Amino acid sequence: MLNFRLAAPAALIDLSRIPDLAYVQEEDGDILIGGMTRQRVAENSPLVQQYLPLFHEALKWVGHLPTRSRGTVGGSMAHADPSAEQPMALLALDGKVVATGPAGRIREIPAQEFFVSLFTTSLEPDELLTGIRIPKMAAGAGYAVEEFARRKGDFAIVGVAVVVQREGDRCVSARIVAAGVEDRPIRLHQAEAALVDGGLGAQSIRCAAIAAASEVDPLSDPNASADYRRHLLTILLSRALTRAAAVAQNRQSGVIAA
Amino acid sequence: MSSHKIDGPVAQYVPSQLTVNGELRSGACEPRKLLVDFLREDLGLTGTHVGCEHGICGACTIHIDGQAGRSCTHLAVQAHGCDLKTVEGLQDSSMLHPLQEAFRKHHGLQCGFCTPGMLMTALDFLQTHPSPSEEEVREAISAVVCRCTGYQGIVAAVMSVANDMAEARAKTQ
Repeated sequence: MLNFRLAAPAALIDLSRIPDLAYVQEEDGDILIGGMTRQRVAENSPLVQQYLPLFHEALKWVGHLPTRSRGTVGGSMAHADPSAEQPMALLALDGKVVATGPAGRIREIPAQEFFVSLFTTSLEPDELLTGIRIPKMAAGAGYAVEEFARRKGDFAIVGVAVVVQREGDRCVSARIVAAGVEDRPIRLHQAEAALVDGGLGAQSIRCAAIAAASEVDPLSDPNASADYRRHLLTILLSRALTRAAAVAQNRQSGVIAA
Repeated sequence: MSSHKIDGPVAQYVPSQLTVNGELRSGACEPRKLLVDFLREDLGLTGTHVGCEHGICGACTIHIDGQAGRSCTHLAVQAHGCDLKTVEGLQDSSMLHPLQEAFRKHHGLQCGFCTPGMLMTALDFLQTHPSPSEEEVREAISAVVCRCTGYQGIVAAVMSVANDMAEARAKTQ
């Protein structure tokens, strides 16, 4: 932010010397990740790998090894880049941001309300993002992250994260989130409904991908036109849903997903 | 006309003490100074290069507390108390590091601008991925931009070191 001259703060506080802000832990049915947890630490966390495999997969798309060594989970959430993978994954997993204010006031903000617009969140000026809380994924859930960027590790032009719960060929629930399409990560309700109505077969997945392209109002910028983003969304969502349906089947039949 | 008073902090020099390539080093710089500039200008370690200055190109990659990180997106004052390793720390007395030897042998550099970042990135990668596939090596070094080699020589160099490491492990087992 500083190097891009996007921010010129009068004072900076380095949080990296507060060890209590870096952790991955279980609480009830949730996984809590501290705001200053390095992305690389979260990626290698057995708790994240076991209970939040979608978040783990999303972290592999975040930057490169040298940037994940220092980049933090909380930093990415607070930065709220509309193309970023971690906000997209937080929304797909129905997670919350934990904000701490004066006198220890704690507010848990659902991802849906946290990401407001381009680089804009509902964090108040007197609040600090101290962590995130994500419910553990269901053991048989299928999931996938797909994205397109010009170079692996760059911010996505379009990315998608999907979680599906299947019973046979039926899809009993679906959460589909896209990044890089609008000014914040967005849930694609019509695509979700298409899956719940039509199941997880190839035809239904095609319908969901087409529904997704028609329910968004994409950004147009020098990286990609709105039409191209729609096209990418259709392709990436088809791939992600196809893979997620297979992952669900494998996990339900006890095969460890690759 | 009244005299203008400039509000805001006056430039101050903040002392930093850190370990670089195993030696305790200290210096004092303005809080806004980037770590890479501190290494080059204050400590005279010009092996680390400054490229894009916003974390994309990877030329400035060093090791911070044992892990590869960008020294252009760090302030020098943040490194106080840290253990850093730069490309100067790879060489062991007069012996080049095996990665450096491999880069030379496989033509892993031409102009050499990206090389310090490539070496430090590849070192962290090999330490955490001891038996990589060529595809994994390509992905790992995509963290650093090279505009000369087309990457082929760099991939060959990193793969050759990975293979040597595997052979050495096999011998000791």
